[in-house]
Amino acid sequence: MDFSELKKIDEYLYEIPQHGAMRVPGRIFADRILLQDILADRSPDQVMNVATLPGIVKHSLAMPDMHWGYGFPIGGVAATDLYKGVISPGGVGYDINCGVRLIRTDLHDRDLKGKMRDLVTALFRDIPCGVGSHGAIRRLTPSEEEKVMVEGAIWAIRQGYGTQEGLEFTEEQGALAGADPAKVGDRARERGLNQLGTLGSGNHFLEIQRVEEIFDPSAAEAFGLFQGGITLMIHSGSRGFGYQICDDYLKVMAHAASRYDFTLPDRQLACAPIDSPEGRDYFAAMACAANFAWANRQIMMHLAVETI
Amino acid sequence: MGGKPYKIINHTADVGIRVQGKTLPLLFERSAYALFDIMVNLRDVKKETEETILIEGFDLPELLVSWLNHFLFLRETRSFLFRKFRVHEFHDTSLRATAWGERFDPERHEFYREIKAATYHNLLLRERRGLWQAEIILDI
Repeated sequence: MDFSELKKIDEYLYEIPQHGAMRVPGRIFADRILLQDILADRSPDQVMNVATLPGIVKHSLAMPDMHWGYGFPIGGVAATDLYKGVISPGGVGYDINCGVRLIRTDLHDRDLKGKMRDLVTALFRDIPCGVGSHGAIRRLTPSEEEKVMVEGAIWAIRQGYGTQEGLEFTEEQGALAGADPAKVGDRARERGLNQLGTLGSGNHFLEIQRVEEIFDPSAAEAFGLFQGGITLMIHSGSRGFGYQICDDYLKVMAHAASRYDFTLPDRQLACAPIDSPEGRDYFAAMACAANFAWANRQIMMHLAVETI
Repeated sequence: MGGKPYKIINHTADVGIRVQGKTLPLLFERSAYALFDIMVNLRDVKKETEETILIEGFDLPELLVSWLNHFLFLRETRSFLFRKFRVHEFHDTSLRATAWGERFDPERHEFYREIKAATYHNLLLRERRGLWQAEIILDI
């Protein structure tokens, strides 16, 4: 694709006009400079592919950080109609509820002077991150794991990892309704038993941050942020547990595809109507993984705060 | 045969492998080797353990992805690293194989990077002029 195929809406918004099998237009939030990189990696092709999904509403969107993903571009966003639309495990992604948690502290940059090395060493010690690492908490029993699947961050808080207060600032209050452990396979369960409280590898991180510049003083005050203040950010997801659920349901969707008369431009977009046995089962399993991820971030964030 | 039985394909955020072989069993063996060779320095991995591998798939692409993901599952849950593979029986939707290796030992094994999954993305599996070729994108 090149610039000539895009329709400029404004300085930061370009449209891929609806054509071919697309059911809606594509919209990319980026400026001309970013677009040069974006067009080079062909992720706009994925924006077009997503636009072919049955029941997609209004636009197939992509954010400024978009790049090549699995079916959906990374940074892709789409909404599908609850009754007529599809749900796609590839769209949700392998790392179900890979997300970010940010905590503010009362610490100032100067409080950490000369202590950074010790702090980083302590964090490495207290929060397992690397390859095949096991949890900071002991191995779960199968029934505990089922509680995590349903209760998410609330389970973690009940075990002493943090307080109820934090839930107010957590998406879905730390647990998505509709989780059903019965829809999670054995392999996923096995992978999840020893991974709660682990960061994972790749692009996951725990970062100690400093507030460099305040752009909106009243918003900063509302969030309790101040110049030079120390914050912690965790980027992590549902680990092998979520990966396995995605893999399991990609297969389920691929096998069911012939029943639903979809022609998919990309196998990773395998999907089923939300209102179908496969769609409902996937949602229930996906919610389990999402809740695992919230529990995981809750635990690690608590451990990080304790370490500091 | 000199060099590695696979090539790395450049990819934005992940790693891809290109493998070929005269037969599908050989291609599958080489894919598994590539998977572990990317993760760890295989020179230090001994062939102490023998594991029987049984895989089923809806079709050939699923069989290949399931084969690779099975090894990632074994690595993650039982810390197994494998360096040698032999496919004994192969059908379009199932296979039986043996893999040789040992458990991960952080004192002896040099781990490069984790692979989280073999994906279906841009999966290529085809035969051209008597040679099977595959390209698989791996999530890291």
